[in-house]
Amino acid sequence: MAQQNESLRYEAHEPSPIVTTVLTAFQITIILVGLVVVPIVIIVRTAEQPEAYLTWTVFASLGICGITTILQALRIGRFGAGHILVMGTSEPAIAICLTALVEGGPSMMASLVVISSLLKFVVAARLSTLRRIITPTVSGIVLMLISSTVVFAVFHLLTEVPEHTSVFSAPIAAVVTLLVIVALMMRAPATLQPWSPIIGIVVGCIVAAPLGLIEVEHIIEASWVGFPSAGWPGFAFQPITTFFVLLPEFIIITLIVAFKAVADAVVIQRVSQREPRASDFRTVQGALNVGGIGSLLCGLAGTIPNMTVSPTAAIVSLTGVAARRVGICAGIMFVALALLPKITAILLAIPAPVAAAYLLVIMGMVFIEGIENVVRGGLDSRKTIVVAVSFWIGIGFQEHLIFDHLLVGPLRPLLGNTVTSGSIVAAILIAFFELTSPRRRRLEVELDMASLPKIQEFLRGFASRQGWNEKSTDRLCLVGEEMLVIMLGYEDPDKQRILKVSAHFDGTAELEFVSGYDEGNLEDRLAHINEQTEIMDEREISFRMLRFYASSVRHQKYHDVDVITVQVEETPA
Amino acid sequence: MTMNENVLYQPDEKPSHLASLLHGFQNVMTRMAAMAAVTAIVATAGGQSEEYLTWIFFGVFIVCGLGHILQTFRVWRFGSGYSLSVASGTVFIAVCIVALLEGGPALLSTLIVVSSLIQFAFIWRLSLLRRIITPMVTGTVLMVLSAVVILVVMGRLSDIPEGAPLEAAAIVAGATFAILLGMRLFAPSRWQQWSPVVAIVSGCALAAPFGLLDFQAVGQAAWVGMPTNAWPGFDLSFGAKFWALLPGFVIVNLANTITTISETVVIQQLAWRRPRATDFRVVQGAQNLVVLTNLLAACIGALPNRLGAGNSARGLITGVYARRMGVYAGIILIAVAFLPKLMALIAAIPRPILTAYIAFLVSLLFTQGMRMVVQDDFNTKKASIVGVSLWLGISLQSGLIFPDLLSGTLGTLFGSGITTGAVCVILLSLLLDVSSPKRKRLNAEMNLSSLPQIDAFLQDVGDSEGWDEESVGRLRSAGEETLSSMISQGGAGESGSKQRLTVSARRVDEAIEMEFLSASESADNLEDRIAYLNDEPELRDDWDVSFRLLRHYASSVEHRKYHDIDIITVRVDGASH
Repeated sequence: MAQQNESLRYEAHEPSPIVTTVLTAFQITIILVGLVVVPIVIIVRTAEQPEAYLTWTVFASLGICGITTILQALRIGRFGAGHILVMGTSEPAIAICLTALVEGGPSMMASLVVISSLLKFVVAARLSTLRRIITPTVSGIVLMLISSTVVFAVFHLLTEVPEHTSVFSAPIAAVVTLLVIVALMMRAPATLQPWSPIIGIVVGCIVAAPLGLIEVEHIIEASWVGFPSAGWPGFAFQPITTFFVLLPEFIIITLIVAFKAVADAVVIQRVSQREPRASDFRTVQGALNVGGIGSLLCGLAGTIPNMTVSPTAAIVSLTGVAARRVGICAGIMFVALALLPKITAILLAIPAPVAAAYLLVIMGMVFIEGIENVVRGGLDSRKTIVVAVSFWIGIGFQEHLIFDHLLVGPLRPLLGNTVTSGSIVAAILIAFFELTSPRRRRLEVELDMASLPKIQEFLRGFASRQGWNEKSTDRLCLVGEEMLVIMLGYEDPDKQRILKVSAHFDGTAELEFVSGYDEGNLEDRLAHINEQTEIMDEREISFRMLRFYASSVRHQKYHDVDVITVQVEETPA
Repeated sequence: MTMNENVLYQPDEKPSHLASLLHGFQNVMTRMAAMAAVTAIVATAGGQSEEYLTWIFFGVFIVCGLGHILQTFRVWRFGSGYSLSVASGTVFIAVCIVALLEGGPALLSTLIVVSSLIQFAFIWRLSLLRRIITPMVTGTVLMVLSAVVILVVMGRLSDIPEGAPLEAAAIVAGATFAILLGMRLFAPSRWQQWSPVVAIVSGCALAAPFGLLDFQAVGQAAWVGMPTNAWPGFDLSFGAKFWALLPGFVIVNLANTITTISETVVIQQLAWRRPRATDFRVVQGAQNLVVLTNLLAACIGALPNRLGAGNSARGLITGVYARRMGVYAGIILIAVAFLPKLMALIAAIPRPILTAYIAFLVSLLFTQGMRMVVQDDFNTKKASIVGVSLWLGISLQSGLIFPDLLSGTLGTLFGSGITTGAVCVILLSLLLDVSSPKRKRLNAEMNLSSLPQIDAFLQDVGDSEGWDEESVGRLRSAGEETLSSMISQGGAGESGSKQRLTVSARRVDEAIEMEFLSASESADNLEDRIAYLNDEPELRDDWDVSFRLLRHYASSVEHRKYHDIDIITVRVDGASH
């Protein structure tokens, strides 16, 4: 059985004490506010937009990120993950938003964001049909690429210090912060370990202050309370040619951001549970839906779209607090920051070297989460190639190492970003495998015991085409029978009564059962079957037989459908 | 355990001589250009004559060729029994140049000899580093190494002759990469083994019409050649310059040993269809042989060597790990020392093609590192160690961290991402180990009469951790079965044996980790035996019961075999009162 997450103090549904909640939310806010505000400032200033628009867009982004972070934690109907999933500015969209701002202004960018945001809802609704493309391998690669992008960007921050400070100021502040965080994580008592990031930052700031790394001018200039009265850009589709040139790129970026949201939603589930459980894709769909709402609101407000922020899972791992009330509290803090510019200025005054040192730890952990995702998804020789090739192509483009001079026109914003180029390569390779692998054989029957002969005939035909011996064929048919019994036992009268079975051979036989199955997760049930000492119901025998005959069982639960994938190996005669 | 399905030839299998020759050529063709470049850089920057350059070029190829051949054998404590390349590495460039500038080739040879002797002692006592050289550390080093290599080689993608169109480099590199990728994914395994040579030859064929191939140097080179003797001898004055340079040589040598250990660990996991536990005697043998080649290099005035990177990655592409291939690879290297035209021909392969090939090769190595770091119990602390070390190494190598400050001595010490990443992961692992609960120890004799003593010791450990009776019973039983298994493996017999056994135990999360240290002459690995118990339908011998019981009681068993000692680590899960 997989290892337990013993460092987790509060699961998502557990209420954490108020002090722990506020302090953990504060840790999240203090770090992630930079990821919301800084990209916006960079984009708007680079695009030479007026100061009123900058004020408006910072306000709108903070407010929308706060509201959507709360929605993610709450989970209302099909909206929200029910976990701490902080929303921040969409980093992959930076380049394309900058192009839109320069070529069409804020109003055209707003129109593009609104239209492309609708795609997220489509992806969420049809996630089950994309299951062969958005796999744990792709999610893992996306996380690894995000970590790389941020790390490469973060290290440029190390030298971003006020003029006239000593050349040793930044290294001292960064090294002290890093050492304090790492030493506390390794050696501090268990009660102190969750606070190692915030302690590290505070110590870093204390060291940085006498070195002249903290700039107070922006804090003094900022007002205590503020609400921008102007700056909303409205909508425009002009120039129309530019609009239609940029629309496909916005759509591709939106898809990439959706891939990333899937990765974040899968990882946050894993780090938020003590007992390892299979990923619930309804949670992923909920996260995607709120991502869609977030981007739609951003478009309506005329600001840069938002997305789930990957360091959240690393912070949850570090602090051991996954209680969803932390997400709500963090969201409230973001909204408060939108209305309190002085507090935002104070948080943004954390010296860049201190923030960089902290982000090195966090992004290192995000990278490892990505690796774990990939390895858990099964790293066979094909997936090894996908990971190796897509990750390094992504990094190569990001670092301008792959024929940079040939990246002209729309290719540059599209491929110049690690996440975008790497994800595109991974998705293409996986789609290519799907298309070139042996054809799936399909059967559609009514979810009824009377369909058993049809299923068995289908499976026998499939086994015969693979040249399987009698023993292996019987094994395959028994799996089919047990699956039917299990699915019938939990059929939901409100869900479809159609069972779709598909079979595919690629070294082992892979059977996929698609239908409504409104009971816990079968994969979890099988994983924990040994802990149930007595037979609990008549289907228990089916569970045990299924576990015996199948080499692996994977259950993906979506809102519209359940997909159970069973692998069966050929047995020697 | 997952089988390695892409293995075409295991180390003990023998492909035909022609196939071995071609595989040997595939194995060395990309390395030769790099070795020639390192040699030229050192001799030129070290202010040496053309005559000396020709001499060390000759010496390097002879020594590396011999090294590659000898690695395929295992004689006493030398050699790995795997096809592992020996090459002059870039890590030595800086120290060798300084030595040449300060004292000339004779001082360089003396420094190589003395630092090699220290390296011998280090490898001899490798078991002392068992808590440092873990899968997490070797995996991290492998990832940093791959990342650094890829970032460096990718920067050379556009390195083409003047006047050649830039688009041509993209087309040629893309085609080479696509052929490698396509053959690796879709070609039958008997074709996959030739993918490097097919990709490179196709790339060259495509490069020719673009003017990327330059055969001028090939035409000028002689068919057969042997340099005039420029043997420098040794500088035995042991003056101030020697003592000033020695620490640098020793540090580079030791850092190099640690960073290349991962290669010998990975190849053991990949080279067999049925994966085996890591045998650290192979690691010691491989490193000992590298030291031996360094001594030989010093004797003829050549440059120091290291284990070449990418042996395992090449195997991932071709599926060939046969020792015979290693022998042929070594013979080719020696032949090249006498055939300048062949060397020139290999050097004429356009850079974009080599870059595409090396990037593909090393990116596969990166995924092996990923696999290793998460293979055993992985937690937040370990994740942060790996993450920080990895990014620190990559960022330093890319010049992202305070590049202006890292010059001179600091630059030499921290400028190498591989060294910094390795040092970081080792230091943090040590910090984690030091902060873990203290070990309790027991020294006993390695025979069954020590059982009551071990039993009482484990009872005491279990009680002091507050474990319930059932858990303590399991711990004691695991201890008993481990002792029986060790004895069955040739670790002494009934009472009367004076062989020492050290047992230590400590708490790790919800488990107790026991470590049994003793010398053993057995070739069997307990970890392997337990892993494949299910494949043996019947009891092989009386001791099989002990193995099965041990598997039942323990949550994990790890067996590390060194030349001087065997270390068995057994973890038992338990519950408190």
